[in-house]
Amino acid sequence: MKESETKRKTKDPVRETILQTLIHHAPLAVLLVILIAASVLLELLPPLVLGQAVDRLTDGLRITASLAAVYFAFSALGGLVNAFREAAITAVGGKLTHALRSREEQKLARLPASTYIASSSGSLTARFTSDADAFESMFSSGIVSLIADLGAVAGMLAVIFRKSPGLGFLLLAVLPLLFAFTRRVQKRMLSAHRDNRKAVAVVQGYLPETIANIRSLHVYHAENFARKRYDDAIGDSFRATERTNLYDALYSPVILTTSAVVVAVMMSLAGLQGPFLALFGISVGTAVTVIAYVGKIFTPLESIGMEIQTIQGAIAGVGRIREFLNLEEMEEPPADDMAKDADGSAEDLCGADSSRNSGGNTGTAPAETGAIVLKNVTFSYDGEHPVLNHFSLDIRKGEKVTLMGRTGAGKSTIFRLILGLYEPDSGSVLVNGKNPRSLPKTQRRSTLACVEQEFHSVEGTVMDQITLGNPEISGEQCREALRLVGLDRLSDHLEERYSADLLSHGQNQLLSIARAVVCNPEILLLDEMSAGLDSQTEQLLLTALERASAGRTVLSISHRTSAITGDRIVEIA
Amino acid sequence: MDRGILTYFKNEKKLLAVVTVTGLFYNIGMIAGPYFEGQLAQYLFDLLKGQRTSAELIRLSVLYVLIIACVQGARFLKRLYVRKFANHVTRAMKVKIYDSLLAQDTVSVRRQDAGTIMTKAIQDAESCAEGMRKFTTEVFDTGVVMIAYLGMLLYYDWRLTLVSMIFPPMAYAAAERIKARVTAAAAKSRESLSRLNAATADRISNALTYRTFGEETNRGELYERHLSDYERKNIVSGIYDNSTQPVYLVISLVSTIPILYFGGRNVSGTGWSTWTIASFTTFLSCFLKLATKSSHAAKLFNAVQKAEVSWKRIRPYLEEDKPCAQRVSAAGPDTLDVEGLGASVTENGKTRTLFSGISFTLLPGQILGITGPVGCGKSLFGQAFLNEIPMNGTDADRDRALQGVSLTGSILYGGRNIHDWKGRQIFAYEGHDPELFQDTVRNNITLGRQDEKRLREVMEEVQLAGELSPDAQVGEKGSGISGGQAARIGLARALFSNAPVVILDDPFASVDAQTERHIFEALRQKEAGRSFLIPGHRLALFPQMDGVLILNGEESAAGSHEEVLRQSAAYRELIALQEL
Repeated sequence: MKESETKRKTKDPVRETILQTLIHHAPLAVLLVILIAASVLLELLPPLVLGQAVDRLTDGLRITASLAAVYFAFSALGGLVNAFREAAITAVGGKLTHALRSREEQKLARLPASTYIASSSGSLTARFTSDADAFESMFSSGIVSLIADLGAVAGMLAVIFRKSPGLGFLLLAVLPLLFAFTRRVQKRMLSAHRDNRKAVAVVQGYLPETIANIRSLHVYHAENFARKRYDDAIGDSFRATERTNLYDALYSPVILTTSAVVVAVMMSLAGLQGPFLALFGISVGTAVTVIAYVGKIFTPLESIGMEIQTIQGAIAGVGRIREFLNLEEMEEPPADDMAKDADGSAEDLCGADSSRNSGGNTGTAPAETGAIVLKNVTFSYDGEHPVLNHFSLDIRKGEKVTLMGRTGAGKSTIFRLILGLYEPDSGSVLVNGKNPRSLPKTQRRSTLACVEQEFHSVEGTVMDQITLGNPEISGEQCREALRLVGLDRLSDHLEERYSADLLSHGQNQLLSIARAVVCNPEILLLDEMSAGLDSQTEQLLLTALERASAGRTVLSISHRTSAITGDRIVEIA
Repeated sequence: MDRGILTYFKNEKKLLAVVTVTGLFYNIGMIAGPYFEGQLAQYLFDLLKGQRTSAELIRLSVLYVLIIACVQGARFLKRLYVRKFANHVTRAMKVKIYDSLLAQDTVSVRRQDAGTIMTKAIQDAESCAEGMRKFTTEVFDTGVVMIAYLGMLLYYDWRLTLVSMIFPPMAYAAAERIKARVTAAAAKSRESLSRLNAATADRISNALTYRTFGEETNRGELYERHLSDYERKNIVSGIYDNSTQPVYLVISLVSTIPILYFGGRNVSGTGWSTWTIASFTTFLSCFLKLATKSSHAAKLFNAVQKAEVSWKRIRPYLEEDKPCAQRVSAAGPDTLDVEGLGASVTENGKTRTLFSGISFTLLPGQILGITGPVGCGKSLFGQAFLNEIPMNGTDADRDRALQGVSLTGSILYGGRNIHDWKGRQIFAYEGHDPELFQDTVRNNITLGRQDEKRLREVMEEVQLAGELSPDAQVGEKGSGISGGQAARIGLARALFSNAPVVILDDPFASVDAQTERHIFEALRQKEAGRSFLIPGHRLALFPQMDGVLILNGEESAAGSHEEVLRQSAAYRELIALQEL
């Protein structure tokens, strides 16, 4: 996937991913093509052998055991190859979807923070789940099967034309009609299905509503009102289902009856003999062969219709993935800073012995520059209403500063700028003399950490809540962080799965502090922790914050953490 | 299957009768296809030898088409009616499940995770009906048709039939053996997918946390491992999933070797039976169809099994007929007597008294304001009239109630205990949550009872008339209107009900002071025959009320505004706080 990063500005990232994956797994892709061709071919063979057997019988000869074995072999092989083909389709489809999801995940790291704030996480998640699934089904049950089925139809038509040109013409006349019929039925079904899904969603929505409003329903004896609404909604779903039922029941009988008509017409015309017999080219064996084909040729026809539908249905989802991959990305931090982000320092990223004071690659600020410097910063979220206007702030190493100001004054915005989630419109934000975004990833947590306003739990164990999945952070470091914040009792439960009801609200806040300090950061940002804590818990929290702040540069937003605002209060207008 | 589920079959007798007749006709008719196709080949053979005329062949062809058309017509009807049957059953079950929800009392509905349970029940109803449909379908399409095919084969050559029947059961056994692995592989793949989905949701919802802590790269690597795991398990599952069919096919197709070989001998007159070409092709194609069909036999058992599992889960909801409660008429104006009302909350074994020994009498037309410090039980006081929590209940009642609440005392209306007023509505209640339905303003106020004139009146009284049209949609949980409008719709609903006693829990919390005064005036003038209980924390209107009740643990007090002001320090404090 490395190559993709260098030229990701090309128009269609989805197509690009497909091509790269197919090239990367070329042998598998070739195997898939071979298997598709082989399955088409093997589908054709058994009726041909059967025809030969019947011709032998009409000529008064016996069917040899070897001819019987050949018939079996072709049929059996056909079944096997079909199975392999399906497995190969799953494999290739899986690889493609994997590649696409990988690429989507890489995109996440390049999206600006504003995108996350503007779009719901549910809609972003859908790009990875339902849309990626749509892509997979478009490939496996759409495009590939479509090719296989078209191949099957073409193959059978070719044999039929050779054996019985008359039947070939007959089928050429009938197939388009039947296909049109198929599509018509499928479209009707689809629209009925959609109506049904809509109605079902409404019905589902009534349940939580009824539960939430049950008191009113009982107090006012209005159960019948609720029941009637529910019944009406069910009725909509019922009628939509009746529609699908009609089409569903009708389709297959029509096809099979048509196939009987085709066979009958062919036999009747062949029976007229003379030029017709020649046209239908019929021996008894051929008749048996082509009757078998007529039975078979309608199956792929139905599949082709379904495949077209699958592709149509998936196009929207794939389009959304394409849009997502083409979303605007963050600008790269300045190049010279990037150069310093060498992998060489990886060993020392967060080890217990990487003291803040060891200097060197931990990026300690030179004495003359502040730990955090905002110079003449102007910033607005929408490009119109500046939240910060020529704002400057200089925090020296080891200093403890509290930001004060009413809601909306820009306190949180300052944090976001320092954390590098946003870039200032003008002016500069420097952490230890560097753009915060170009802090090497490996040193990030030992340089700068933030205790967030709310504790956001992550998937995984209790330990994962602290490490956030960083494999370099040891259990010992976690235990130490827990001791620091006074959550020692969790030390023995590090490997247990975390669940939201494991800890109280206040304890989760403490865990949030442990998460911030586990890598012993030089600079600590303390966001205003949300209210709703009893005074006892609040006291615990304050103690923990105080201990966490010791020996660090601290910038905080809060009234309640006033206990640790040792040095300076900055008022924001 | 137990008797309950049979009633659903019984209820749809007519549909099932059509299914049975057409199903039998179609499935027995299924053997017509192979038979006629064999005959067609035979006629052609005879024709080429000059033993038949082309007219005979054409007649046979026409007959063939007619028969097939009839058989397929029967099939169409069978398919249609079997689906209608399932659709009817689904509807009946869903409505019944919903009825059972409506029949539960407020406390039970609120205390359990009712939403999830009911949603699951509805899904179960769907899969149960689907299982019943499949069962009904497969009884004919697998059961009947297999017997028909087998009969046909035996008729042509019983010895060859026995020989060729050796292999399909073997195939079935082999497929069964693989099935366990198929299921296991599919389960693993599903589990991996749910882990992947959880990781996806986590990666995205915590994206900014990961960025803040510089952990995006690590999370990316972790995500990649989830992707690889899912890809691998999905492929394995795919391979297993596709493996049963060919194994089955290959084993059962072994039979085609003896069929071709011995069948050929039959045609040449040296075998067990004497066959024509027609017999030969009919026999072969019957066998091939039987082999395919029998691979579906497993479906029949699976369908039954699935339906039974779902059925067991939903049976409690369907068991008894719970007739939907009928709308009741409002009781006439009368005296409300409350004697020794008390409430306590039990948490972690500790019992705390919220209020106790409250007694008062409320005459028609009187308005009583109820207040107290935060957490005094104002809302609970209002709910005490709703019969949700039994008065003077047992410990079991207390444990069952939300937050371990228990109530003591008695409430009489017109001298009769309110429990004994079955069939007449005494109380209307509006709580903090106006409990809106995603429907029109009209339906939210009237709850389905038609009375346009009264609707206009109550909308005037709550100051909604100029603001909202009765036909406006309120949106999901009132998302289309403001909080103040939602509260006033709730208020209008309470007034519309004509119940003689109206309990309004903090009704003016989200309306401005002027609207509050207007509404209060309207209650005084237009609803003069009704009594009101108004628990609230905004005290501006309390001096104008007929009585005031302060809930303050053991020191609760009732009386006129002035009396309570004299008696209760807590009330004086509350009034002082609001600078009244």
